[in-house]
Amino acid sequence: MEKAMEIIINGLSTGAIYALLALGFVLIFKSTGILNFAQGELCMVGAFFCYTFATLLGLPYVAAFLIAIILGGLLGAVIDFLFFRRLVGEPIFSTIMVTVGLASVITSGAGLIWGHDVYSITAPFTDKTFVLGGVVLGRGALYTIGISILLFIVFVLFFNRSLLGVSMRGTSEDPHTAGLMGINVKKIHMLAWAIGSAVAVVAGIFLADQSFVRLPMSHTGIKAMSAAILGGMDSIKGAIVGGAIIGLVEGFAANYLSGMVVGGFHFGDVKDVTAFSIMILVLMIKPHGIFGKEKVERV
Amino acid sequence: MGDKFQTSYKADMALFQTLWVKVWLGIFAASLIVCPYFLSQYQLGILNEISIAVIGALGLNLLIGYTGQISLGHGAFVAIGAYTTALTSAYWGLPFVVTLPLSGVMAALLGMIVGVPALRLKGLYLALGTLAFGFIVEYVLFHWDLIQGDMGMAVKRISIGGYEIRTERDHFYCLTAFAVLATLCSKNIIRSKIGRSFIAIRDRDIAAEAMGIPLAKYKVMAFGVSSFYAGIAGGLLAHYQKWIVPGSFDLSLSVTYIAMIVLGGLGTILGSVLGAVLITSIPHGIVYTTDLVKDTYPVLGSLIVDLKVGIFGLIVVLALLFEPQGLAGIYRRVKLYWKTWPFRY
Amino acid sequence: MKTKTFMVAALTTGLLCLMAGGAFGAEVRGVTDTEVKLACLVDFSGPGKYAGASISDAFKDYVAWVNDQGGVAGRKIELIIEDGGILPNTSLNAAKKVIMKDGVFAIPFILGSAGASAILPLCEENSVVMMPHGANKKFFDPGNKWVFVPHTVQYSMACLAVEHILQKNPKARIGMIYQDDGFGREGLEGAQAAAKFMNSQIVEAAPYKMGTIDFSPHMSTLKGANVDWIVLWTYLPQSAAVIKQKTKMGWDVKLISNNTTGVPPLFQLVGDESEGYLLVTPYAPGYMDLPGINKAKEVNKKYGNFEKQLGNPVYPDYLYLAGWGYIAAAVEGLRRAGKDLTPESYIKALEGIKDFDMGGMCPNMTFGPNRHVSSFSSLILRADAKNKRFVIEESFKEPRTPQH
Repeated sequence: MEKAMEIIINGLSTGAIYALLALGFVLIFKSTGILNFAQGELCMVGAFFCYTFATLLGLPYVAAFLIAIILGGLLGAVIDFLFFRRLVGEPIFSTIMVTVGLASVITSGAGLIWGHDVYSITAPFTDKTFVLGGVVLGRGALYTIGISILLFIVFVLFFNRSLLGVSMRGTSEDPHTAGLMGINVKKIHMLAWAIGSAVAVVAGIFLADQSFVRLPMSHTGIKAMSAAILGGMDSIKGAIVGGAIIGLVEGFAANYLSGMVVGGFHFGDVKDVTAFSIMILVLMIKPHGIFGKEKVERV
Repeated sequence: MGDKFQTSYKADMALFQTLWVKVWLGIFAASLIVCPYFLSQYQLGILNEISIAVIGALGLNLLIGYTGQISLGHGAFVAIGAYTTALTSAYWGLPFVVTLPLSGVMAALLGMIVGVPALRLKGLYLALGTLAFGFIVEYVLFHWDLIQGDMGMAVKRISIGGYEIRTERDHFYCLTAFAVLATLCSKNIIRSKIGRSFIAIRDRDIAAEAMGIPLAKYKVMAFGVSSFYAGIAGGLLAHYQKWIVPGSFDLSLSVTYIAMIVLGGLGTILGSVLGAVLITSIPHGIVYTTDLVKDTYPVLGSLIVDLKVGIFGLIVVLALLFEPQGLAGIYRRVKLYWKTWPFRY
Repeated sequence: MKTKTFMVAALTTGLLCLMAGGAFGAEVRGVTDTEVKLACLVDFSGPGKYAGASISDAFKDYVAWVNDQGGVAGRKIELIIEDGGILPNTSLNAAKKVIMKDGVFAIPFILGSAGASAILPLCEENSVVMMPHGANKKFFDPGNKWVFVPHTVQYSMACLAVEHILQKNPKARIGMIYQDDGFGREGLEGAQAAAKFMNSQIVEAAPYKMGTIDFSPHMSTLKGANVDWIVLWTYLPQSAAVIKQKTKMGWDVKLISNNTTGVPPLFQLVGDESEGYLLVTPYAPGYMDLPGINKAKEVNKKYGNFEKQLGNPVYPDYLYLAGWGYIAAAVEGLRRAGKDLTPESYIKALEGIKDFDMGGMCPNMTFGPNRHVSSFSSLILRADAKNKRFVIEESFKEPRTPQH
């Protein structure tokens, strides 16, 4: 029983990272219709920003955190300005492939700037623990879960109550009409990219506390994509729920299935493949996820 | 296009439409036959890689460029072909003439299975589905005892009717023959009913269905044909490299194939070939440049090396932003320019 | 008509070239009377980039030193350092380039065991001796004519790790975390073999996928199995993550790991928590006063950039010394083969190396016709967090578990 409790709590704290990343996917997708395959890379760059200011330049952690978020937002806006503004109205293949290409360009650039080694950031909550239900947990996990719930509330309010949020929703429904209604579509898209990458940066910094700062961090992005698909690509609620579910299922699978041998097949580490299997299952059974809306296509 | 004025359906359907095309192709064929005698082993090795890449790129272009179905899992089908060849020749001792078609068929079968959800999935959902499929294939390859995990397994040489292909030159003739055959096949697929249905589906699938094209049949067929090509490319690659490891068939291979067709030109045969030639040569070009500048500018050398990681991504991004029709589009524009020179429209 | 003449001319030229090529083939690739070409395939890009600089430093220094003394048997060594990119297909391209374009005689270093497997057919076909780093047991058992490993393999190191634990406490419950690939599984096999030999067992083994950093499931599985030692067959980031997870869980479990993690960045990543972390490695720490290491330092001072390299406390000296071992073995082979250097004579010469003195830097090297791995011995180091360096816990020793 205690073990199950431990798996659940650990699963939720990994799930919170997925949820934050999935939130970034959803924010960008909801307003621009672009599925950003480079989300994981933005998260990695964000962690490197924080590392640069906190560890290399010796700024206080909170300051480095905030600067990294601002820089991340700027990076998102610049990406939109340089690439996606030109691609409005292009077929979906082009936008997807540009984000895929961008992912490897960002990795290569980060490798040039920061190198391929492993680095660490010392946060105020690093190595501090607390005990919950007999399970020892890092305090970083608590912050991650807290922040993702907070951001969830903020974004739900933002999209439902604020004028800007409503215009963002409108733009995603029908950019053409939204433009005619006097909404500055370009500005909305840029804003969506900025917020989406800022959220990715937050995820990256928390991820860096759980692990370290290094280039392969970006692989988490693909797993978060399963979370976004599971919850529904256009649902903020879905991103949070999807992240939590992926984190939990992964945790249980890793504990009970890893290392099994069936016939000539070694299960090995099933953690990653669980997320992808869930993604395929969801796509086959309910492609629009738990909370996603199915769009009717017109000729 | 101004240059396509035909007076009969027969002329319109001809494989090679003008005398010029025939002459150029003749010269090209002749140079292919003699070039092994002028090139070094290393250069022939690059050409052999290109031949295999051409086959894979043609297949992917049939799926993405002609039918408009996004796939991020092409590398997985190449892997399936490679491992089918490796396993059937190692454990059952089947000859090359059997294993090669078998690897194509095996990949095609799995391709069609992946194609079935494509009936419901579109655009980005399809991209994600094929991506996840690629990861799962990679996982299986790493964990299946039969194929000896990440250390890889040995594959026999190609032998046809008792003749064993050993040298780079023999490989060159064999692989080029397959590449030419694959090109002719796609050319034929495209000008047939199947090809026209593919294009109709790409342009608007709902409209295509309304016109009486059975969507399910042709979408699944597009996946099957494309994977068949990938499987053949994989089978040839396995025989050519003589040792295959699962690490060679990851997402980056799929992205490389996409870079080929995007750079070459989506929806053109010429584009697939041009793209395969260029994308395969780029890493070798980088190595060559690094060698040149290594002694004079050591710093530059290490920069170039780091670029290797991002170069294909950069090509995809730039091509899609600035030249969505790829090299084939540029070629067409240049041709048109000279045809009307100096009196442009 | 003209085309025909041209074609005939072209074909004749082609045939001539071919014959000329055949004539060249009689000589040995990469060997002239004054020169022998060797290639070192390390990584300057991709995940193995951390190792590239240090290993190529060692190769450059050693070759410059040998050439300064007049080379080997009148031949200067021309060293070609090529980016292998650790992935199998990039390694294959790099190997093709150095063999076919540069025409090297041997490849005395290649990083990555999967890459080494991928280039093996190419080396066999072109009669090129290669020396893989991160080599596996299968390279000496059953072994391959063209493959030599001047290093202790992972299998032997894993055996020694388990024997060390069981000698201290025969009742120790041993768990294992290993990378889910050839490298990690090799460690697992060695550990299991040694445990069986010592009438014990590996209680629980948890695999992880390369690149994983979250070890909470693995550690909770091992804690559930109530182990008191964990053998880690992991790379540096994973070892650091396990150490962090251990602290986070407040679990006082002892860790023992492999050579790849014995580098100074460990102290930067986990600081004081690294105290007491053990690892098995064939190379002594670079600060020690041993004849072999002093020689390397002396050469490095003369030909390299000592301040930034061996003189620098955060430099990964283990990688430099490992590179040194490889090129030293390769050059010793050239020396023994002497004037008459062919692939066959080189293999004979390498197989004749007996107890080649490494001055205490690593175990002395011995090859033989049925033994293409230089040594089975390793030493055990302990992390000293206060001084940010590794100290010797147990001196060079061969595992008692049979290695074949």
